[in-house]
Amino acid sequence: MSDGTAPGSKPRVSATVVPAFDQIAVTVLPGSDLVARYPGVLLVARAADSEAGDQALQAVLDLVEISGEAGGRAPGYRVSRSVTSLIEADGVPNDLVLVAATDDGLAVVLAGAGSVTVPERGWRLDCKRGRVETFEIDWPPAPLLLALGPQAGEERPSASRPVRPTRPFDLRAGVVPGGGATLATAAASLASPTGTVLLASGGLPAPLPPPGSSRAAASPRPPVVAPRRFDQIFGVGPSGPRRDALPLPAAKQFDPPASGALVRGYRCRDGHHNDPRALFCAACGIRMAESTGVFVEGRRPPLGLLVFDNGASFSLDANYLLGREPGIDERVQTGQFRPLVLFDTTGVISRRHAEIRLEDWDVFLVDCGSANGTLVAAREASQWSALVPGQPIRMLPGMQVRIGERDFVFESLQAAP
Amino acid sequence: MTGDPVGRRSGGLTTEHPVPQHIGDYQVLRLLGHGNNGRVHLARPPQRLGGTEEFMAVKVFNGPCPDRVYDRVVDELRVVSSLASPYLTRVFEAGLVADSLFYAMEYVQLGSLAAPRRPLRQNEVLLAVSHAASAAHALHEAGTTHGAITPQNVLIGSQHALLSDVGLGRYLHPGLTMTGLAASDAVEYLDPLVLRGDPPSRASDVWSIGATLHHALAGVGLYGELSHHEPLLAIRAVMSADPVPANHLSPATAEVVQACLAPIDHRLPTAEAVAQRLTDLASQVTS
Repeated sequence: MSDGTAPGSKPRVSATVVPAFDQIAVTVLPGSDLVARYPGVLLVARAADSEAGDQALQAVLDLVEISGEAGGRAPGYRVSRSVTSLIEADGVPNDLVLVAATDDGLAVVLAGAGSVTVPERGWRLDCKRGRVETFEIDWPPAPLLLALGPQAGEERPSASRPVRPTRPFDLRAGVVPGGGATLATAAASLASPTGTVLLASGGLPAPLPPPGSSRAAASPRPPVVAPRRFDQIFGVGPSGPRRDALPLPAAKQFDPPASGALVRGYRCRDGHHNDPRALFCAACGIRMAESTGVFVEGRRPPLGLLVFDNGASFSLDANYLLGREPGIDERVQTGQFRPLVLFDTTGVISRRHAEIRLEDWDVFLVDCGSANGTLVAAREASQWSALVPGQPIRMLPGMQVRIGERDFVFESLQAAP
Repeated sequence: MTGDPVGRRSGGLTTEHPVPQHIGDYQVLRLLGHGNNGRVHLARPPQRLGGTEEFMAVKVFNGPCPDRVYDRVVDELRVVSSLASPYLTRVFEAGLVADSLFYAMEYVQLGSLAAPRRPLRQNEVLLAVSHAASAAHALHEAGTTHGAITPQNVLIGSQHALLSDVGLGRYLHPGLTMTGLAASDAVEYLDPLVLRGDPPSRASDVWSIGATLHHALAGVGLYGELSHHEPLLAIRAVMSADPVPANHLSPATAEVVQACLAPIDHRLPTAEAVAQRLTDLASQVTS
């Protein structure tokens, strides 16, 4: 602040030209901290000395990258706002300096010992109030030094020399070790002896097409359109009446869902309805021999699970119709069968491919005359067999089924007869 | 009659698609992860949403969603969003892109209990699970359940934790007890009674909260190491064994976990009771 024209006070320098941030050369100064450059953003942060610190630092970098992407050509305000709130919440990193392009200058975030200086003019900005501070400055007329530590600028010989983007220290994009960084001015960049155009990854937004030209022809991207349907959720109440609270847990729950079909079987001592062939209760494991032996009608509990190769599991408490578009079947529309959609990328699954039917205490599998068939294999079998279309087979526990590229297994909950 | 030899295949992931650039008029920045039954993206919302949020997390569900199912889902999401609990993630909008359901919710930056952005202290974990339990209680009082509480769904906000991703799979796929494509260890957070066909309830959500607490504090699951690549083996392991809390948990914490996993007539009756126990425990850890 030696000349009293601190950049933070936003003096208007009439000759300042706002250059494209990503075309400006960045020189990395030697050191063991961390220098990162993303489109529209340059930062120096204190390297962490613990795993926790690494994670916190990574969170800051992720956020910078995300906010930068979202901010387009001038992400400065977004990035500075997001990073400031994260540092305030997390308290890390201890020392950081970040500059990011705005429409007419730079947004600056300083934490701890982070500082920006313009050594040629004697300008300096430090974090003096609180944990983290933000500033808005004009494009500096001479190279801007980002450093950590009060004496960093003075200590480094490179800071007192005219800055040139000398290989291998020119940073175009990414995260590298370093002790500080210098952002050249537009003039310095154009004077680069290599003549290379230095671009951050992601580059600049494409130049606007000349007036009158077809924008669509220049852009290969599909047009961005609103979703087919969209409905506000937050702030809009549900349509139906207010629902009752869920019941508190009952001491014992005997009855399977009321949707279960009525079937005849034995009840165990604790009242669970069981397959008459079962030796042990499927629900509580108690020996059925200890039951009263009364053959009664009751709601059928789920007979097992279909476990798919991706982990999705379906309860066998109803009939299912499997296929690419089972919803077209009338029995699905009338509720006799539940639809189970199989995603297909190979085109070998039929719209209605196979059925799973529950009859009394058994589960049957039927191929619906599918174009490419249904394969089954008993537990531990080494070969697949194709089903004869229309002929049901009784599924045994552990039986594997293959339809197109999808596999599933029948897992029984009942003790094996 | 015979085909190729029986064997496992990786076909479960054949539904993977590249990350889209847009979901409707949301600009996708990157993939955040796999949630119940779909994928969650970090996205920039369109202007029509009012510009209040810079980023949103947009979840797109697998497979088609018929319009009549969509209407039920919208109503369910509105029931959840009308609740006063500060511990539920806000859902701003739901919609259909092509035939797939999506919804846009608030983006929480600090990760989840499964992958926090910074290490959490023990009392922070206790409080986070307590907040998730309070959120679950609010759902129960409004007549619905979460159905899929896992450490992945407990998000770490800057002020408090948030319960996200209320299970909608049961509307999209009736009969579904557990969704695929999420982490295949999700089965260890599911009340075995639900796996056996019971509908989700207060008690089953309490069970899931207990399993979530256990994993977040003990660093291991209730059934030991489950196969992350073989869902069927994981389910068989869960169905053939009893959950056993790790013996390196503190006695007070182990007691709360046990009270969540106990048979229904001994289980903590409400999620609010779990929340209270955890808040008390957190204050003791702090002091």
